[in-house]
Amino acid sequence: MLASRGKKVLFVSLVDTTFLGEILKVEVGYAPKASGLGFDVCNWTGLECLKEYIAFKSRMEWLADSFLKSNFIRYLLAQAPGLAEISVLGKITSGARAHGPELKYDHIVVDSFSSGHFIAMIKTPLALAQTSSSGPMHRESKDIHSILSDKKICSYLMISTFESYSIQEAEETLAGLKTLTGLTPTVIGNKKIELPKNEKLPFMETVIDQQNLYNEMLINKLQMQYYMPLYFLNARDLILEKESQWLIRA
Amino acid sequence: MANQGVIKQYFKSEKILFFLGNGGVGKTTLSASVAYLASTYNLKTAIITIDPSKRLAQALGVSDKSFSSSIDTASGTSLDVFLVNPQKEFADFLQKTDPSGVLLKVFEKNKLYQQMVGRLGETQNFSALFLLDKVYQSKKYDLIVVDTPPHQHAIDFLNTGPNIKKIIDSLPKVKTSAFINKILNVGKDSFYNVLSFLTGEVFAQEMKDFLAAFPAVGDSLLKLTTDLSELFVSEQSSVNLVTVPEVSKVVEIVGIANEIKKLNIPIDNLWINRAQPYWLDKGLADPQLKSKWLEQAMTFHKQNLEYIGVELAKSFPNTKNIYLPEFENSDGLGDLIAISKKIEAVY
Repeated sequence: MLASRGKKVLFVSLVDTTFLGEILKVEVGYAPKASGLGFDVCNWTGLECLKEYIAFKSRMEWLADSFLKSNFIRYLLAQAPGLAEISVLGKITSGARAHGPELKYDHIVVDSFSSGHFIAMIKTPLALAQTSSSGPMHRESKDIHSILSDKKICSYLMISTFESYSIQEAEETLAGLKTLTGLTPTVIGNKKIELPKNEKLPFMETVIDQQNLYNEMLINKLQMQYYMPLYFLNARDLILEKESQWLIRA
Repeated sequence: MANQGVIKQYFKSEKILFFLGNGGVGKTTLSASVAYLASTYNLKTAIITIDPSKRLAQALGVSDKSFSSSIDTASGTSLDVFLVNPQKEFADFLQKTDPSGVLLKVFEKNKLYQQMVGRLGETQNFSALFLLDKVYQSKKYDLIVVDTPPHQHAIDFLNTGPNIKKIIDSLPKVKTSAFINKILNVGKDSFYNVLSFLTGEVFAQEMKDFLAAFPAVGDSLLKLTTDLSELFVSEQSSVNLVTVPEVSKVVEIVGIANEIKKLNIPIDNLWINRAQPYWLDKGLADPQLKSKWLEQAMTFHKQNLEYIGVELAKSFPNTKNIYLPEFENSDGLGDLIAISKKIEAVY
């Protein structure tokens, strides 16, 4: 949607990119690549982000290479609490902090982890800032947290389906995000069943009644602003196109 | 219940069942229903969630503040429920390693440790492993069901043991009790210099103190993670993959399965959850009904199921595929009972 409005957009996935790569017919890796749909796409992992950060800070790529080449360092970093998360958040916010290699994009759209791990990731800068009272880790963690809490820079979109568990989980995530950043996410309801107006379908009455209840919960508890209809579509690119058209209209 | 014997036999042949899948596929509800079903067979059953989201507590109607509770089943048996409490699991592990309590006090003073068991604790794989080990070692349970977080985080959890071993194997051969000392020595030239440069001396010092306290737990940690890794790849453990009939989720579950295969953990079952929307059955029950919308919905689900059938046959030739229909409600314990009955029937 943003790309179709002429914005330069980078779509960053923090999660599994198998399906994304398949629908875009692109091998999604750390370096941004053209998606063929008007935006660039990439997959950022903690290790790659840290490697780039070390190379940037030291201005010595060989140092990053040799530091992270060691199996010992790689596996230790994989287990070190919060390090992968802070590395990814550092990269995502690097443009806004003017710290790190330049990212020439108007918008960065991040497909993040699901609720529990997303909140854990957002907590990381505060936790690491409290580990030391001074120094780069303290300073940069605080800066990252400030960016994540700045409504002029960051906005959060939260997706919920019209089901009770999904709504409960969204409530928890919303509360967690608000406590940590002071920001309220925009909630989008997904896969809402819309019946054709010219057909009578009595068997769907109770289904729609139930959905209406969840719809009210989403509006009243989570201030849902938009929803996406349920599409019976298998053609993968058609779904992307339909959904972005729907969002533009909404 | 013609199939009762089949799933009961499966439960009896395993000790640990892991439920893995992507977000939003119904893992928690399914694993809770399976655990509930096992406990109704009078098998002493525990369910552990290592997902930081609190859905298991919601599904079973227990408080997420109490970390361990027990629920009574309709059959008069009980199901024990465990949530990870990082602070307690780390403290128990350290206390077990050093009953004098000195080690625990050393760690508790370290700020990195404080954050690890505090704000960052929810995603800590170690605390989840400590809990699983404790529940397993208690020898109280015939079956332990583990509800994991979505995708990569579950793989990371299962990989913790091998990762610890790889850290040690990547170092020059030393006595295991001295392996952290070796880390400190290796680090003098590279690790600490780079860490100090990147993070500042205060943080690097906290990390140094943290690792310096580790030699005392090195042997216990290595033993625990090695024992659990061996248990995971043994015939006592089994992975249950969970997906839904959506093209994207099926592509992703094949990716997850490939990761699991690399870990040599046996995959026994693939659950195709919500195989058919409950409202579609209602529509199909009325043969007089003529609706283009219903036809479109039917065609869509039929095509999806056909695609999935082909893909799954290719990727999982030796795995049992179980198609579980969607339930009208899946809110709380009452619905878990209904789901567990259905699982029993379709397995």
